[in-house]
Amino acid sequence: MEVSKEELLHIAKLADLNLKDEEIDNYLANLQDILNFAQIVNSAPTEGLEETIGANENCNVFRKDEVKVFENHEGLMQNAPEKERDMFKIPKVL
Amino acid sequence: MKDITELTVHELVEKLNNKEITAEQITKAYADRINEKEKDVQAFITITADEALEKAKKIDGEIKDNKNIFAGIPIGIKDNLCTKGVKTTCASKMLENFVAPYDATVVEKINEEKMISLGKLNMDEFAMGSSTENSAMKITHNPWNLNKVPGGSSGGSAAAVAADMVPWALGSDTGGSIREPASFCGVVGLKPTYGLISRYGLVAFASSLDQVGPITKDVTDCAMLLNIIAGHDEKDSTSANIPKVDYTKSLKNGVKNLKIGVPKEFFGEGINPEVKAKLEEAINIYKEMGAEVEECSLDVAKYALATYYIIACAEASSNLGRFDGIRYGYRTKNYTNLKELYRNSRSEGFGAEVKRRIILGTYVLSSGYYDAYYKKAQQVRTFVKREFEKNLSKYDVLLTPVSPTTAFDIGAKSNNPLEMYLADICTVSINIAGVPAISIPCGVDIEGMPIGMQLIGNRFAEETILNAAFAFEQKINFRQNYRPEFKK
Amino acid sequence: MAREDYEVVIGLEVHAELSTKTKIFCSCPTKFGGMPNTQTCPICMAMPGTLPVLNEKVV
Repeated sequence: MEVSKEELLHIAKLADLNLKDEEIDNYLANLQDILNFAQIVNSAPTEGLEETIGANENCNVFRKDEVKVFENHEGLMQNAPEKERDMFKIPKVL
Repeated sequence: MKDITELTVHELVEKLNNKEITAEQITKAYADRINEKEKDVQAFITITADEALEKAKKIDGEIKDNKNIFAGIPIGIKDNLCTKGVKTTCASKMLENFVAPYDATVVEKINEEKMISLGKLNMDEFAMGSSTENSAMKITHNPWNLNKVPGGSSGGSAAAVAADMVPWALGSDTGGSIREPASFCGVVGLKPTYGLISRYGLVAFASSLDQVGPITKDVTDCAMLLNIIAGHDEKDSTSANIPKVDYTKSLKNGVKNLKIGVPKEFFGEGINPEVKAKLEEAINIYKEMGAEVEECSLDVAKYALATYYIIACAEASSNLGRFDGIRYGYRTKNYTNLKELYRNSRSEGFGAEVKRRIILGTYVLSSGYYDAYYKKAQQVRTFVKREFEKNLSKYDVLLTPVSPTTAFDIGAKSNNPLEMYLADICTVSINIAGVPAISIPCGVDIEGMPIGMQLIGNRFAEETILNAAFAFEQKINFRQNYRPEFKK
Repeated sequence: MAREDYEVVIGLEVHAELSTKTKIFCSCPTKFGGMPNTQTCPICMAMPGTLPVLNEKVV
């Protein structure tokens, strides 16, 4: 499948990534190469095969509805790039 | 007597428990070795040798409980495993200063054994790569030849073990990231069955493929470390709830009548002739030891590689969505609104390969392409699993190369992503199928670079592949015959 | 324009609040009125390496 520059920019937007003008051609070529290579999955013998979603048979793994408090509150907030009064500081949303 | 840093962990444990050496002596020896070799190898992102020495002194001062036989044994940890109080960077600008407020489950387990971490080891950024050249921090050099790559993404871990800078290490494997660097660096690396080892605290790349595993000097050490880190974890819903096994118990059983299948498709064109020749020698050695070796067919490699990149990138694009510059990680200085904060933080924080894979992943999951790529890949995954099951019901072990080549020169493949991806061709199908595999050194090429052999087993049959690996290791004595020369 | 020319469009945004003691994917409490970021843990902060485990009561 041929990927257009517009599609690449749209995908980058969805992924919240900026591509600089000088990078676009490079990424486009790489993406095209890899997608061409990936086409081979269409020739694999998958007639009638179900999809494998996970990697093992685990299903319905639950946890009891019991409170466990995470004590290290300071540790939780220490990586915040900007904070004020124990809240994450971000630009105005509305 | 051998230098302390040349000893395997099982030798160290014996001397430690016989009181022939102290934890402090062991840690000091390793700290000195790091001082000596790190400038050439560059395996570490964070070295914690000073703290390690303090811990070792404390352990020597405590009354030894017979159960804690590993108390005072040092270890290295790949920098995508969360360690409370010590940075976990994933070799990315995005997490350059990130300090996790919790320990990964495998780290908790090694702490319970009172092992001492010597530091966090270099890797490809977010585990995406096969040479450790994608690290945003530094390039690691192969201890056998410093101009060559150590492999990736657990390149720092493998290089540190090979260079005797750590006695053993933890790595992670999503498409070959333990086995390929182990092969390039002449050490032992095991990717366990998916679910055997908890992923809680392993920074996620591709959740249905990622596994933590040991990288060690020999097979006995590998079995011992596996014993410590394997086990069910209620914090990881994909973790297997199976009875505990002692992986050291069946090492010495020998390989008489062991059925080994050799998939012919893994030995086709593209495999370096020296690699092929050494593996054929290995096959003969197994025959001499009484194993029944037979050619078989496992025609999955080409599909598996494409499937891997589709699934892994799709899952990565989701897992890396959390990095937005808000709660932790890199935040750009360059924004006027929230959208710009997200976009610029991510674009400045992630390296090129990471961005490439996020874009690929987003593309294959996007509307219009989901069926053509992602859904198809999931079906191919079923096909690959079945092909493995077919072969592993007939054979106890499958024997293949780990990589089509030995370690390549630094810079040789870094401009061609697709060529780099092909380095994984022998390893990714194992992650897709979820089965265990071990890489052990089986010889060197004409330049003296190590060649790895891969032994693949059925799900939860780690004992079988460890046993087969042990028998071979004892026969060829690789460690006695070959040592890294730090060639410049 | 006359009143008849206008068309009413009503949108309903429906939220379902879980009546559980803990959150859906982690064991943090869900008590009403706490200070910001006090009923949190690495899992609901989506810190790297964390994994969700589904609350049985939700299912």
